[in-house]
Amino acid sequence: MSLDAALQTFFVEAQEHLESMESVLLQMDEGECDSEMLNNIFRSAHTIKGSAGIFGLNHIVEFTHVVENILDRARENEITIEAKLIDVLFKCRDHIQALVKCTPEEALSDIQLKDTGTELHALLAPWAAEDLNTVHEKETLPNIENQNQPVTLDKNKYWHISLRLSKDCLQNGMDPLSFIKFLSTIGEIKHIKTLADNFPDLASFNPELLYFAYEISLQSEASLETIENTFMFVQDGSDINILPPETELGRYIELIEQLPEDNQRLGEILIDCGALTANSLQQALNQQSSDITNQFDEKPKLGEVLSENNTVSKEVISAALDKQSKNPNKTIDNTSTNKQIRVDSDRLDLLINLIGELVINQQRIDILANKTTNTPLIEAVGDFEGFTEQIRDAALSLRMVPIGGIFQRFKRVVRDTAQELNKEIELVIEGADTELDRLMVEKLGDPLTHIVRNAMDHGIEAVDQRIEAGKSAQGQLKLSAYHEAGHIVIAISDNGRGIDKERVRAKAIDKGIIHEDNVLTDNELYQLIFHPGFSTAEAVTSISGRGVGMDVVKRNVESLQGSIEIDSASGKGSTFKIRLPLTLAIIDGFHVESKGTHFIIPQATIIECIDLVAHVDIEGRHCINLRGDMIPYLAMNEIFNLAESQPSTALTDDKAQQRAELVIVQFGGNIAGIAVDKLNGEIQTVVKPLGPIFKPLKGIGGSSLLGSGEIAFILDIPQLIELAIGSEIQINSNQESQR
Amino acid sequence: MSKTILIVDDSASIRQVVSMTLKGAGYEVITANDGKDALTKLDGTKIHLIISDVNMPNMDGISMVKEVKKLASYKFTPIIMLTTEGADDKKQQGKDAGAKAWIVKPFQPAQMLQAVSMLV
Amino acid sequence: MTTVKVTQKRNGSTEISIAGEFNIYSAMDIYQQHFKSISLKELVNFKLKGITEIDTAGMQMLILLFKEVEKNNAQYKIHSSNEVIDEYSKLFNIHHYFNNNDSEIMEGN
Repeated sequence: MSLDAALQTFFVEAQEHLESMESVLLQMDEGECDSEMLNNIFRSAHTIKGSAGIFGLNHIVEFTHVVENILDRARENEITIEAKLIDVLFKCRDHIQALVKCTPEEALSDIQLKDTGTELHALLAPWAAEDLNTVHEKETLPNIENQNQPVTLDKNKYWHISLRLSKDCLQNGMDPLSFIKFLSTIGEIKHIKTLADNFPDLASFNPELLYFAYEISLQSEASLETIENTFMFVQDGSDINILPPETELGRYIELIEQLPEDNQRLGEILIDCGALTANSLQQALNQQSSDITNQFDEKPKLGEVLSENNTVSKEVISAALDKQSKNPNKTIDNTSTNKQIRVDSDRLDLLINLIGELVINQQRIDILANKTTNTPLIEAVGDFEGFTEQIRDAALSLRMVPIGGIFQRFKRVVRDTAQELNKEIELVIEGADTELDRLMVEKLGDPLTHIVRNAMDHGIEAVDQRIEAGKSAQGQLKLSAYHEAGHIVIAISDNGRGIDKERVRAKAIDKGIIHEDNVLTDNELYQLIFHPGFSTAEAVTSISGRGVGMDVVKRNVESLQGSIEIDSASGKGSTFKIRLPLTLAIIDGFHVESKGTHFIIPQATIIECIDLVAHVDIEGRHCINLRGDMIPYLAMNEIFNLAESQPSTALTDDKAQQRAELVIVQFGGNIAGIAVDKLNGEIQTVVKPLGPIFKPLKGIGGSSLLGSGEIAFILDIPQLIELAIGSEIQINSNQESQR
Repeated sequence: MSKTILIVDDSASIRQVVSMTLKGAGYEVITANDGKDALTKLDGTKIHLIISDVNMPNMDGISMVKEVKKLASYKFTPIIMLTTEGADDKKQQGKDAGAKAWIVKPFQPAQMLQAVSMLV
Repeated sequence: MTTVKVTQKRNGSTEISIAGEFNIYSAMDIYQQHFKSISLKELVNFKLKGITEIDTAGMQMLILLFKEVEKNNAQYKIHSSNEVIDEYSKLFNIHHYFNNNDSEIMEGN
């Protein structure tokens, strides 16, 4: 059982390494190649092979061993990375991936897989060392020391580790000896000071307790986490301080003051360790003591003690200070931002859910507080609201990941597809650090792949066609991501031939999707591409298939509360824009009511609210003229068949008051109105998915609990707009056909 | 001089994976099926580290730790407990008994080796 | 097994010889038996060549004794080198405690 779990870990690990191999290969494909990349890709192959060996996955070991060997030779500069080798390595990587996915038995019986392996080994032969097979057996286990050995040592990168381990650690079998030895496997101990200052008298000595204290200066490329982990088993009752290289001096001073030993002695020890120079220490101390004197200048500060032995001129100190302020501590930033922890996504979701509940409760308190005239209470609740919002934002940001991860994947897709189509295509990525909800990232892969392949297949022309059209031989595909009005936009654009509107139109008529007489705007015309079963490419290719999928793409995007738009210019190219909400968990909404039923309209979609009574329906249709524009609208009570709620207190006014307000919403390029009885104002709310019973209900995206305890339905604006426009078109065409 | 590690686990596959990992890194390995079995292996042989499961038939890991702590020649032997349980009270019981090092399953072999090399 | 011998010489010096594994397993017994109320005056000669293994508990006990000697304004000498002690003291940078050995005095016994 646990073996399986460990095996699962191996699969995850292998997958990560395979991805890393791929991204290195892609970089190499672009002509980059440095020792770090070579080390990375070697380590990936090495680790996959090593771990596979532990689990007895010999089919992986056997194949990967050869690849690892070649990467090792490249790393040692015995061979150079050339285009031909990169091609083979790409295939090898894919083969390893295929091997990882099957059991040793399957690998043995799968002749095709075996053949590929043999073939690839043969392809690798020109780069292989002659004695390849002799080094086989020995290395099937990962050599952790090797992996941890720093690749390059930066002279200035000293860590300072201060250890006051728990007194009982020796009794628990934890000897500092083993920790120090371990430290020297992840770096080089530049200096260590073993302090025997805290020894008791001979008579009260306990030989089983630890009295030694340690100050260590370590040169290592290891992460803070790795160094911290060295002491993970002695954390209880220990005082362990790990200061990254180039830590601010103030931290050292804090450390000195916090440790039990004599301050002056510690200062000297740190200077001894190379953690501080006498100058910098003093300078920091001066600064510190002047800061502190203002508050309480009581006990003699370390600075004063030390300055007795020091004769550094004021000029030198201020010069040093100057220099320091000009050099912001970059390394510190790096080490602190690199420190990451992995959290189970379920736990994260739970946290976000709970914060959702917190937001609701906060709103309830807000309502209750506002009913009182207790100003201090109302103010306190106002502050509380501010913090709740910050907590919500912070929690949500935990779930945000940069889109670069998916974009990266397309490098390979584009490379391979271009090769297959015999086209020259360059991929440009913009806004890779734009963040979006992890849940969306997972669901975006397929639709994006589809659009990208479609653009490469149908959009970008073959090389000769491009040259004929006076364009560069190399086509360009651009993936970009950016924020726009509370949404994230992912744009896929190409500089190909653009969408041939006439052909789309002809096809749509041919397929019976539209009528010959229908006059469509460009946008409407492009949207036809998403109609099920639509395909314009004359030759059906294996790349983008038979038009199966573009309708699925649209559905996928819509399931993420998103929309998709197309923009195209003949001969110049097309752009597909996917517009997505920032997060799926919480929305800022506008709370409205119709017949006593509560609805929430996502704030980002709202343009304005108008008084419907002041406008007259055009020709008896649900359509008004707003400053010259025809705006179709939907009445909520009609759409959802809402009856008068019997004991409603809101229902005191005359009938004209019903359906009196119109909220104008926009999604993509479309505008529509939503008619309701009552506007209740802005609200922040947690989206709860609807149960399966409500799934067929068009126009509702989820539900939410209001502060008052009542349920509100969150309107799915894209669907509603479609409905409003759809019914308009229908009415239009009915009228036309009646004529 | 190679160090000797006693692995205590009722799962044969775990014993196998762990001992494979450790042997590969140059350690001597002795295995036991449960706490009781483990105690019989503590017969004067020098053991540098004990790696033990918590949940085992006959004698569980925590009871075993308590017994080990009574043995003059083994009471200071470092012990790593392997557990699937995130349960803190179990962990606290174990820590009280004297097992300070805990590794949560599933662990990666490399992780295990690293932990071992921190203690011996 | 650890063997510890403490001999008070007629000339007022003390000889402490330790052999075998000097670690936490024997530390408590050795301390109780030999060092808890030891009086160290004038010159203390340490004969440590026979130590086959030393851990931090063992090393702490040696340092405790060295400190006690210094506290009493006495002197101590380490006779001949020992590989395991060298290794430990080099790792922890405490060899200065052991560097005062007088090469002229050869280890007896």
